[in-house]
Amino acid sequence: MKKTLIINLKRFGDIFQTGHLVSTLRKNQPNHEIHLLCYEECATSTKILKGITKVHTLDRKKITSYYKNNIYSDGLAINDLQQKMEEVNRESFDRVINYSNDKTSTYLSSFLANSTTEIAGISFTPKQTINYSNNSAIILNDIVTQTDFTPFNFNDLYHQLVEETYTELSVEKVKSNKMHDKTALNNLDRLRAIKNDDSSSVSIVGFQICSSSVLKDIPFDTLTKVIKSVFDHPNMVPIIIIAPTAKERAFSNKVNDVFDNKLVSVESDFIALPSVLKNIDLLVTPDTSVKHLADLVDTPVLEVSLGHAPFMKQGTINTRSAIITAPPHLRIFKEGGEPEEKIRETNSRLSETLIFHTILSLLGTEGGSVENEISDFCVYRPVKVVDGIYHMPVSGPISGLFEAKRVLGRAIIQKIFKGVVDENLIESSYTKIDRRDFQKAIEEEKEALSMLTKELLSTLRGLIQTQESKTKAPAFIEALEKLLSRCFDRNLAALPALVFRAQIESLNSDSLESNFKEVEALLYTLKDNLQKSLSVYKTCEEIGYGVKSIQRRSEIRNEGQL
Amino acid sequence: MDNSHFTNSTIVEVKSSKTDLPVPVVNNVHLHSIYNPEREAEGFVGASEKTLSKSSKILVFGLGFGYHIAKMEQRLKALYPNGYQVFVIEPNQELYRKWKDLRPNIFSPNIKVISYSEVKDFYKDKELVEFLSEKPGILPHPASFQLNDKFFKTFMSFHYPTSIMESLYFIEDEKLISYLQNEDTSQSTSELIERVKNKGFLQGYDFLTLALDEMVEGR
Repeated sequence: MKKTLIINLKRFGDIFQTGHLVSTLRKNQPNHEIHLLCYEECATSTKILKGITKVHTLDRKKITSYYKNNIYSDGLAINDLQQKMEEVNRESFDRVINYSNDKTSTYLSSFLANSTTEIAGISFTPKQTINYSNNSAIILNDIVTQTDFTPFNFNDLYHQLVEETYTELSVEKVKSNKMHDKTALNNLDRLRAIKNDDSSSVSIVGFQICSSSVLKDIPFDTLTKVIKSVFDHPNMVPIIIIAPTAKERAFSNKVNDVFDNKLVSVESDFIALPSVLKNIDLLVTPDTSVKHLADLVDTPVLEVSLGHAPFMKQGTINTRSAIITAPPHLRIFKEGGEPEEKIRETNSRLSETLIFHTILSLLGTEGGSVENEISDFCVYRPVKVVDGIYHMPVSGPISGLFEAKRVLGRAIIQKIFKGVVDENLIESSYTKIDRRDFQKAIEEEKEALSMLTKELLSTLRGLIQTQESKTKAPAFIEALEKLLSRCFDRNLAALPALVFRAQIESLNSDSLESNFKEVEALLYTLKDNLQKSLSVYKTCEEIGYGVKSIQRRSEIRNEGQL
Repeated sequence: MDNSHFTNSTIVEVKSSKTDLPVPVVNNVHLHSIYNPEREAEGFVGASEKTLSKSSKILVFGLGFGYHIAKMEQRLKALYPNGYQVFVIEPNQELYRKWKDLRPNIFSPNIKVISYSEVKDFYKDKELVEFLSEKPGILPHPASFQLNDKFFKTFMSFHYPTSIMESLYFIEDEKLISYLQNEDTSQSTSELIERVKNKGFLQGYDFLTLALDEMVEGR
């Protein structure tokens, strides 16, 4: 039996999200025992994940306290970390997945790497250059962290790190607790029966009311109005879902005061929460760890993405879910990226009508349609595509230009790394995005591509001249730096530039001469990638003009004749 | 530097209270009531109720002859039937020895009394350090604290030396000791980390050293 270690040093929601990868590995790579390394403070979330043989924990709080508090010797921190990592090392893993992809996990992965342990994701070489296990590691580390339009969500990328594709498996991802399941089922069915004699017609809508930041919470008035709409509906029952903390209890009481304490509030820890989520029909939540748990138990989610919550990277991935967001082209998906006042003002424009109609739509209830909803906010739906999940715009004041660039960005990366493009996604995007927006995006991007091509050729010229005479080296370095600065441009030409930069940074050559040869090869690879980008634009244009569809129909007809 | 620097005197007299219990006297200071040390201890526990009810882990400054600790333990048993833990810090080693000889109070294994010659030695006690990292409630025994106030203040504001040499005491693994000994052991941990960052070739514990640096900074 082989052993895989997943290093995930992130928080509760990210650990829940690991459940998807674990279940994929259980199904497709059953010869692997799966272990997880996480921080002690988040270990409770691992208890409910199915398929993990052993959880290893690092007590970050204690180690940090030992290191930072003057009364303790630093030796305590060093010893604690080493003792734990030696214990992990003794397991002799065949593969380590650097899931959290931060500096700590990357150094730990590098520590564990050896001739028999492969690393999936990034690690450091002895020369402190970055080693990318595959192209998905480049996308995860260099591209999604830097681009506005996040072409792939994290869950898909984690799967691609181990050469898998995320699919909605019908396997249990979460451990069952029969007692909790029975209690939840009985209690929630009772609620349904109280609402309507025909209890099977009643939907229970759970409201997760607290997130980690007040800027991500649904504004109080909006929240209570939505709950009231659900409460008044003849076939719906709202329940409040809270964690067993004083803060959430207090907030729940505040909400319930508006309803004369008529609302049912369910207080649940992580162990019992899956049973609750399995027995409700929809979860309404801001960006919280609970949404990831709902995804694991296949309960649809209406995610209200506010503040800096990065829904395109880590939004709900259930195809029966939806996401409400301010127009993403106007949002900054980085904590502290926008003034608080601006966020609060934006959030205040979130209408309860949109939320309620989206609830109706997701539950298949009459009156629920959001396509023609007029709002300052947009609705997105996760849709299944060939390489995972894509968050498709459904309604609202989306920016056609921004959405076109999202689709094009994804296609460019597919073309660069796999040689093929998901034409179905492009085609279906044209039903949401005006062809003129696509055309405008393509024209802008072709111009950026043209600039980048000129700089590339200038750099190649500089390199060739340097090989002839080393006195030309400064000019070459300057051209190369200018080329690399394109990584920070907010256009799609940055994508091949980012790939180029990742490849440059992982060069391991010892001599200047072999360095030149490798750089030259990478510059030609960049040139190829720019050509690929251009071909993507051409494909997109052809699909837009229906040319591709005509060709495909013709091919199908010809095949039929053959 | 031994604790006589901090304590006013190491000479311990033992007198008998009106209730026939031994009472230590240090430098003419009675560490417990000469009338009824057990009743006085009840008062101490009553005044400490807030701290006791917040945490099942308590750090006590000052042993005396333990009457306050015995009463405190009764309260902790009631508050925390599933378990509690107490460390008692006593800088006066003569007092500690006399207490052990006379045994006026018997404590459960949940209570540990420690006495060392230097403040630093307390912070070398791995059990105590582990206990401190769990942020226990702190209760000073008033008479002991006043008698040894310089010691306890130094204890609370101690700066453990940061050199690698000093850190070696806590390292259990021989290979890690060997790795650290190959470095300049007079340098501090942060200097070691900078040196590792600038190395041309990293292996093994170099990566762990850098992982520590990133982890404590939350990266």
